[in-house]
Amino acid sequence: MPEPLLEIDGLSISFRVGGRRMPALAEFSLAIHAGEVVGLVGESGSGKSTALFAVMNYLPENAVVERGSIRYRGIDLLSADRATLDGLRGRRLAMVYQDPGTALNPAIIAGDQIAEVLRRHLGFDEAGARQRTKELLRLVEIEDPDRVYRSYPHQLSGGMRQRVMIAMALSCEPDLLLMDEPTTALDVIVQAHVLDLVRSLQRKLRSAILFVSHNLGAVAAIAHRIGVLYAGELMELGPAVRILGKSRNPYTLGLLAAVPRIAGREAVQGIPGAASRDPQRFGRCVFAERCPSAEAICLAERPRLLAVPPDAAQRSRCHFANDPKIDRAWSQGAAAPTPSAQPRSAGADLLLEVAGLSVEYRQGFRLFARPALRALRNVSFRLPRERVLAIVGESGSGKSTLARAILRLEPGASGRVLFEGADVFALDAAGLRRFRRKAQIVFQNPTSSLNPQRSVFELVARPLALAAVPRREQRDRVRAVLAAVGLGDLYLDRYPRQLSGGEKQRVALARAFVTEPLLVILDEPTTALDVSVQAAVLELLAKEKERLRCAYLFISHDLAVVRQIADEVLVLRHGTVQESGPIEPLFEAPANAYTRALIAAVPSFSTDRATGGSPR
Amino acid sequence: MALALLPRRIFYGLVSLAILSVIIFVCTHLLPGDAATAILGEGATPAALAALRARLGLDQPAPLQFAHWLGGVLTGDFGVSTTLNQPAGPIIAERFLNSMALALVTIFCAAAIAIPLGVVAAVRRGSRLDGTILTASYVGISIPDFVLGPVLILLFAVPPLALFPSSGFVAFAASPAGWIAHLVLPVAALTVVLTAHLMRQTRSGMLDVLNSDYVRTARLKGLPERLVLWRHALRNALGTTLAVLALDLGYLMGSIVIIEEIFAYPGLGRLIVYAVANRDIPLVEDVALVIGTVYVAANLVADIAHAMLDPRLARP
Amino acid sequence: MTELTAAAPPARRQRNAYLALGLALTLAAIAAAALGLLYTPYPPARIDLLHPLARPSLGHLLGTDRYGRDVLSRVLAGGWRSLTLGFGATGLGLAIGLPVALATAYYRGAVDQIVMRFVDALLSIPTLVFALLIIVGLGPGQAQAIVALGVAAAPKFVRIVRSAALSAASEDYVTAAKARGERALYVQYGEVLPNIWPPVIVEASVNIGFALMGGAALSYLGLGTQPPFADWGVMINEAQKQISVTFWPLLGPALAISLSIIGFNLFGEGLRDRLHLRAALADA
Repeated sequence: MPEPLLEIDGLSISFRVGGRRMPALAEFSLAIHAGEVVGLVGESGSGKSTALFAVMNYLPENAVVERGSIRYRGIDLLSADRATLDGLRGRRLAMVYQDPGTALNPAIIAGDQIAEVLRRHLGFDEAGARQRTKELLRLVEIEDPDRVYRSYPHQLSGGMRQRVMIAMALSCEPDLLLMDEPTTALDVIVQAHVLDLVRSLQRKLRSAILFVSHNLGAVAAIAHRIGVLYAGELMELGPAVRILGKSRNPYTLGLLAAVPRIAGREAVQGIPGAASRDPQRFGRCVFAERCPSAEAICLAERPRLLAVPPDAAQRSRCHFANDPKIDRAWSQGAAAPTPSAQPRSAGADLLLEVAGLSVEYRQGFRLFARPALRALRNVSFRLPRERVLAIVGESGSGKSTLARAILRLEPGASGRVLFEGADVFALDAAGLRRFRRKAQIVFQNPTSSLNPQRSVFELVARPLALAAVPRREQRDRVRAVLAAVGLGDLYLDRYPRQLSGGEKQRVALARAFVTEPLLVILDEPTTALDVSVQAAVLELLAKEKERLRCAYLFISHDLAVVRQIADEVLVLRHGTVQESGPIEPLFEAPANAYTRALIAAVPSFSTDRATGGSPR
Repeated sequence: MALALLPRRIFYGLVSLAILSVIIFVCTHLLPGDAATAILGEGATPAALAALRARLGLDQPAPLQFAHWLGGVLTGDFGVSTTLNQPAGPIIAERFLNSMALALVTIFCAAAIAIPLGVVAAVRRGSRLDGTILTASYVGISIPDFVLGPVLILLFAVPPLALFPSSGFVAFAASPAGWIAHLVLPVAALTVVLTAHLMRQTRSGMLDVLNSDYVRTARLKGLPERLVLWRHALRNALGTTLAVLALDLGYLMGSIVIIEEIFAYPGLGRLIVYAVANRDIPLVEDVALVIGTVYVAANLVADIAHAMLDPRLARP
Repeated sequence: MTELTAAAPPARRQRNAYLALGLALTLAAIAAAALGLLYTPYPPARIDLLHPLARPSLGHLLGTDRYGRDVLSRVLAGGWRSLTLGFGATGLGLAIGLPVALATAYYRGAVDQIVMRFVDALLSIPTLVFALLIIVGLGPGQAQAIVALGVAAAPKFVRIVRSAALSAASEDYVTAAKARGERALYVQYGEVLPNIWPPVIVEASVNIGFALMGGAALSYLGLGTQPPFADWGVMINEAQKQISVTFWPLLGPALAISLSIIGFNLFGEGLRDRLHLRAALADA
């Protein structure tokens, strides 16, 4: 086997936080060979970005490298001086970042930022660098390189900026390209284009890539080998096909079971609990307390990376990696599949009717008023009781505006919203109070939606207090609803900062459910959550809908998630309805071109027929 | 282009000044009619008071007085100082030039000292140098002008050193050297305060830029730190610093009031103190409005400069 | 070790030292002012024309002024006047600024636009000049100075509290409160206010320092505390007149006011850094 290009060996990194050392990465080892695409997948706090920036020797100031080395062609990167690093960075090791909006200098035109690299590393003169930059822009499939060259970053779209970043990273034909969540900040369709581009460029240029993402679909679409990180520990590493199809690690298997698939309504299964942040966690299996097949040894001893037969190409950090029992681990606790979508029945009792709803934002003040911005144009739909309607769209489609407008929170709204037959916009004070009890909303970011100064009890009991429910009854009902969302009594006196993201979202759901509403508007309720937690919340949503017999308006950009829960779908783009209808036919045979593009853009992978590097 | 924003900026500036003129008028007329008593003293006969009120227009309804004052200002008639019995316009014009000389020299000195030091402090963040600069700026901000002024006089204007005059003013035309000599101590006092303030602003602005993603990009392109600073960081930090500099002109106008009084320097600050102490209402109103106009104009200049430096504003 | 890079926590030891020193100076100033109310070595107004402008001695620790009055006694007695001004003006500024800021951040739109136009206009003249204008209206005096500086500080409070309140109001918990039908006042004072106390406290602390300075400045100009009473500003003004003869009478009041202001500023700034750091940690 040839010498690896990059060799990370036993790397342990921790962060100094308020006088304590919080370990972030434990004895992480990985070798990357020339021309190879390695994907690192992990949820938040898994240490994937830390590992990536360590390769660049660019860690936050409070990071401490406890042990280990990173060698690039024999050069120890962690002890290299700045001059050596400057020679490698951008030339041999290049990087693409998560947010191209902030990664480009706002005061310098895009082209010059690329040309600068050519001049620095390859000795181009000014004219030559400009010429070559335009070729590079053409290489990343930018159609008018002259215009883009002259543009400031803020004048380019998100996808364009990321192409410019990629052109910059590839300008010196580096040996290794480090990509830090390069598609996460982009809309679905753009995401797919960027992934396609990276894949085709990789074939052309043969650079090795270390691709880091929380999105298993994106990693599966590009990587030859996949490493799975969890809570700072490399759980499994191996060829993409085997990781996706024949994983021998309970965490990987749990993750795969938690990813919603766009292909059909399969039971997604959440992993209970949250990732451990215990500084002592590396003395045992970091996944032990969430693992269904954990035994005493898992809490007592740190598992080694065991080779998985037939060869050592795949290795799993599990005491039972080669024990058949882990195959059954997740099927034992599997929830019943989500009930299949209910087709619209003709006589279904109508709950919510939206007719000709438009929202305008007036900009500026009288004298300098700019033309009003229309966030929503003439949207109409009907939602029967106990059904789930998904509103699907990319950023800027107006889907959150729609949610706010229905709840009478948008002053610029016009049109009609009928709730149980009454016009919401015309309700008097008493009617409005009744409506607000029956229609609840849950937001995307659970941290933002809970007032940090209030305890869980205060947060969940507040809607009851508003409805003048007696104090004693409040306590009982809060307990009951917390139990229903999977939180015990010990959560009553906790504050949001003491909760994990998943727990916070459960509290937000409890607050919405506590008044036993007829309609719950869910505005991207799982987007801020890790995949394993998202699946658990989706299970919870399905269960609660049955219990409360309420309807959901489920707003999401994620079509795979929508597929798991919605009965009907409405596709929104630039504030106008593109297409709507029952979910099965719409997903199987979309009539609208935009809907087709949206569905096609979802990175899909199959655990059975994964072909590693070129699925789809 | 940035100039597209200009009419709006000017309009808002004028709105500010219009509101300010109302506020000035209301403040100075909180105790109606007192001006006449203030001028003639408690023992004045009612007839004399009434005559003076009539002469000053104080017997008219307030809105009419306001209209009369503002209309005059807009047409270049600043009214008559009630205590000096002279047209206010020429007095203010002369004092205005003196104050501007003081302010502009100060701003130039402060910028020349504060911007490099602020940048160095940010670049060497956490070093001993940074600590020293930061501590010095804390102290500089906290020392009142009316303490600093006497201390400077004590050090440089009285024996044994007695390098500069402790007070007064000589016209530039009469003696350029004398003009400069009289400017040194007031400028020094103002510069200390302003430098302290500007240094901290520059440091924190530069720190924001140094912690930005695009500076990270520049470093990870393999650019040497020198280029990262000069080409990528400074350009962005400068825009905000410029805005701060213009805002500081307003900040400076406050200090000028005290410093001019300490050094008996004949500028707008000393004039407004005189006018307030003697309840010379027209003079107070005029000077306050001029000070407000200076601030609004400086802000406008800063906005334009900022817009020209920041392509996000210049080319939306 | 790795190269140092991203968001650096400022040197922690230094920051804590600032906070501690600020607190110590602040408490010392308050203690001295309280002492001055109960006890002074000499009656602060007692004239002793036989011993004018005496150097510091055991009898007069800070010397005497040109009328032979004991400087230490006058510094102690003047302390609470100056501090009352600082606290009073800040309290008044907050009492005006806080409700206005919360209301504009809640209602936004036209209300916000109009209020902010006023605030912009008021901020276009320096606080001291605005205070002078109010003094013209109200006449000179200690109480008038408190009102003048309090009203003059209000626009700054409106601006700062409003921007904190706006960012709090953009949080989903505020939208959630509106969506469940909470009253406007509950949202402002129950949801937003508890989350913006940190910047408000920091700004108030820094403003006490500024008001102290402003009050002393008014007194220095003869427009604040009126004779025969004296605060630190008046004393500095009187001492400056004999500066070519002796600087000893200047020393006491100058040190007292400078150290007090440094105290309040360091305390406020130290608090700000600490709160910033805590916010950064909470995000991590």
